[in-house]
Amino acid sequence: MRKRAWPERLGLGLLLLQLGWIVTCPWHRERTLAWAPLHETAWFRVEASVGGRRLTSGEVADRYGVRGWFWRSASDESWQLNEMHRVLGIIADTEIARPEDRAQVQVWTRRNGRPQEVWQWPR
Amino acid sequence: MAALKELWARLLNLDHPTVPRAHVALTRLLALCWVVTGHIGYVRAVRLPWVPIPQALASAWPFLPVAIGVPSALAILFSTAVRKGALGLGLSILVALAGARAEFAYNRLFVAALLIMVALAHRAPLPRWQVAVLYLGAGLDKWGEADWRSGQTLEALVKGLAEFGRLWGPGGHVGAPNAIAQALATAPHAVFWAGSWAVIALELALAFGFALGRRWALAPHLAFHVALALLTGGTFGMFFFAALASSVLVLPEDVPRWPAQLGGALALAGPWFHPGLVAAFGLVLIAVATNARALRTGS
Repeated sequence: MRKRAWPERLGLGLLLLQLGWIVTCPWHRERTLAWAPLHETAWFRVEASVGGRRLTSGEVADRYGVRGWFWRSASDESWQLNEMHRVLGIIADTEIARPEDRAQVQVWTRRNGRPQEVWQWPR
Repeated sequence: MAALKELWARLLNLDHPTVPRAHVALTRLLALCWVVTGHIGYVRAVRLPWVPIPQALASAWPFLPVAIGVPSALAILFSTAVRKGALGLGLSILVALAGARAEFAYNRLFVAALLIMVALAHRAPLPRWQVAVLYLGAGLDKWGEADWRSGQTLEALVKGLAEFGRLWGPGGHVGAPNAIAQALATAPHAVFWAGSWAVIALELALAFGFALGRRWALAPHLAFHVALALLTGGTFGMFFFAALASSVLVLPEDVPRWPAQLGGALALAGPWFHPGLVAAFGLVLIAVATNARALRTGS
């Protein structure tokens, strides 16, 4: 049997990597390569203050970039159609990356139509 | 005029010495959609990248995907450098995704993955297997979630669509009334439970259908994405277009015989089959881009 060309072996390796990611996803919860669109739906609102000053809605959007396409100005809520875990991770990592003006953050979330939960940073 | 005719002829010529015709067709359709929907020129802000990026590179970073993507798309559409073009466009999309964690989107990752698989494939049907992996991941993820198995997530999605309106599609209309979702939102919970299990079963069945290259997968694959587009009133970025384009992967390899194999009506199309295919795809793009009445679920 003829050996496969290296690009094809690389392609097969990338597919196997994704399969491994999918199978192990329930343990590590990182779904980036696990192909999990519409994993959950969640409405969320982010409030942040730096040095006691509450950031405006626009400043929060600029700081984290998680507002997305599905945002309602009236309630300042966004709609997330993949997973909230990623949104909260982005907020936490943004704060870790900028220690010079670290913010206190609260995120109000309604996942899959369930009652509201609050997530805070620092934890 | 002669130059335009030459470009048109190149666009429709799927012959390639080493790349299967279905892969050439897939790559051309993806590139065409990427250009027509405006994704090609969208510059994203560098904000919390996946990997640390030196500041000097970061300042050039937002334009890098466009600088790589435009010539790559042109190469795919009008030359025989299909593999190089697919690799360039696929990598340019990955570069943009790597630059902004907040802008991560499965639809763009899917397009990049399909293009890169075309670039790497020789004998193995890597792009088709990529579609199978997508469906397997999506199906298993939903199966593993209690809220999907109980119908809770689907009910929340439909009620959210009824409340928020249509999702994004080329041409705008985010938040416009969504009549289909509004009608479904009052359905009993059993409908969402049954719908959830139907989605899980369909996604897993399509994973096997694409993995094995079964032609029966074509109809449910197309029906699923058209239904999703009608329910949400949006295209999920490039997902709708990439899904339609990836249909060619479960059609026979020999594209010129497709009309005959698809049935008598299409066989009559003869030499007009390829222009017809491109035109039909173009009409779908235009319909979505112009917010055509046929795709309007509201008002």
